[in-house]
Amino acid sequence: MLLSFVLHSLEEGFLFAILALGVYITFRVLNFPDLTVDGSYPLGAAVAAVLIVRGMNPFSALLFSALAGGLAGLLTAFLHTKLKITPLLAGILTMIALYSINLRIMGRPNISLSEYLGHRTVITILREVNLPIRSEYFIPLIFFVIVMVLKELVDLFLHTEIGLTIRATGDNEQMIRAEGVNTDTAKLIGLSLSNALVALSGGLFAQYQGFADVGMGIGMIIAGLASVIVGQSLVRGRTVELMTLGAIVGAIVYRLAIAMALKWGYNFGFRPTDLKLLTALLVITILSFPYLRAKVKRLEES
Amino acid sequence: MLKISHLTKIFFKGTPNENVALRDINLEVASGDFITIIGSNGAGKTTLLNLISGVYLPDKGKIEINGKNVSNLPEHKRAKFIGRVFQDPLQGTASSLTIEENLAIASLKGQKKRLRFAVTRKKREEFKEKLRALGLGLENRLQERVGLLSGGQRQALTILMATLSKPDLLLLDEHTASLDPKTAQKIILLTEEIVAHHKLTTLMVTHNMEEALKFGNRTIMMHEGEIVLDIKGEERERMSVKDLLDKFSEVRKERLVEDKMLLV
Ligand SMILES: Nc1ncnc2c1ncn2[C@@H]1O[C@H](COP(=O)(O)OP(=O)(O)OP(=O)(O)O)[C@@H](O)[C@H]1O
Ligand SMILES: [Mg+2]
Repeated sequence: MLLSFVLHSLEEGFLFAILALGVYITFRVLNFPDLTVDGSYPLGAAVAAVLIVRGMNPFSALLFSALAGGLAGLLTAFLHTKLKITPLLAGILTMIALYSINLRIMGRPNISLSEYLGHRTVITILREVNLPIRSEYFIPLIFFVIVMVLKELVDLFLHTEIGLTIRATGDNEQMIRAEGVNTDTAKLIGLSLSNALVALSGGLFAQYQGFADVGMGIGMIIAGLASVIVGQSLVRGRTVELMTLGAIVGAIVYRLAIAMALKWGYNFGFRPTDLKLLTALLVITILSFPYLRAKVKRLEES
Repeated sequence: MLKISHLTKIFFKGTPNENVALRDINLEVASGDFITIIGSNGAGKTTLLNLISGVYLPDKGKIEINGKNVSNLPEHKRAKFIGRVFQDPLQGTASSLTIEENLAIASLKGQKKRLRFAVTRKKREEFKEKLRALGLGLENRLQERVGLLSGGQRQALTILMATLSKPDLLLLDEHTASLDPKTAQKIILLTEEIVAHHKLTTLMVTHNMEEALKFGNRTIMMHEGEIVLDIKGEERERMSVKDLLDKFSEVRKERLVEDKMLLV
């Protein structure tokens, strides 16, 4: 019972970690507060669901999820770099536009992916694999491998020539322009890569939970941010490798915390619908913690 | 090699705060010239360098580098001709990147960025060599973040970065002003050495009159957006710091008188 609870939380944590990697790229690497996430996450889910219902291989469907997410990121980057709209607003505009677009893609607010209806998801395929270990262990293991491979790819990318210009753009735009880099291009690449990861996460999650819902993106950016921040306080260090690891660890811890609150929270009067409130409270606590701690220290000293 | 004609820059044009930062500047710089630029605060020195490197576009006038009109080229496209070092040591480097990563970016200046590792073993050796020449021990700290370096170390690194791909034009904007005297001395000597070694055409803004006369082969003085003095050769040789200061206050007074005459 407890074991299956932990395994399920881990699975969700791993899927979340993919989103957290994307959020890490915008918030931490590009220093761009990108709110596209709330739209690109359900976009990935919508694309995957529609394609699977139409009979596409669920793995190929994920590729299209990522592609669609990348395009969403491009749109935000375009609004910001070419039309000079502030990062926050550019992200919100894309997000709000995506709400309608996602509805159009799905044709209705909700698409169910079910074995009974003959839909084949990544999960169905993994369950069918004949292995000596049981699928309860096999699935989280595969998710873990997927996350680590993606982490490795992101790490490698951020050490390439292009990756370096993206990191420098987030760090010191003036310097990198003086070094002959078109910072607009760097932002276009960074934002589309980030949202491709976010949409991939959404596409996988839809398959995992067996449905895509137009509202499933609400508050995702805060959840991603919470993961990145929690991770940063757990995994100290400023190298790319440690920071991506932090995002992953943070996502898993965050997801565990949420699952525990849902499971045992009813003792204190929590309902599942309080989840977003809980997330907001969690992020507020994390963000204000350093300030409050310093204040308490000052008060103690005086 | 650099030709500036009728260059004018007006900030907040058409508003009550309109501010003419540069007024019809003409300047011709020969290849290999090392020009020192002096002038009071707000004279337009930084604005001139910013226009040359394309941070802003001019309101009027033309900038040519090696016969090529670059007036409307965006900053990142001019960068391959130009190396810059700023007054603020934080400005010229990316602090969350390591020393070798900063150098790698500089070494790729003007080249297309690709999907391959930015720091290769070969490059690392090359960087080590160059850093060793600075004599600051940075060659053993390649993988440290630049944010951990002191101002002087960062500025030395910025000079190295700015000159790594042998730019046609080196622009230095009071690049020793925020350093302690000893470090400033070290950095200015390092600058001279590198400029001489690569025979770089250089514009150096400074508030130090002694420096202005000691380094380079030509000195210009700016005041209220204009070039009010341009000396080289024998005239410059003969000039002492006191002469220069006298000239400075003379120009100021003259302007004041002119302004008054305009008022009556
Ligand atoms: N980005 C800007 N926006 C508006 N006004 C500006 C800007 N940059 C410079 N100015 C104005 O242009 C004038 C020239 O400034 P500039 O920075 O070129 O002077 P400077 O000679 O470099 O002075 P200092 O010795 O203090 O560095 C000043 O009046 C300044 O207020
Ligand atoms: Mg200045």
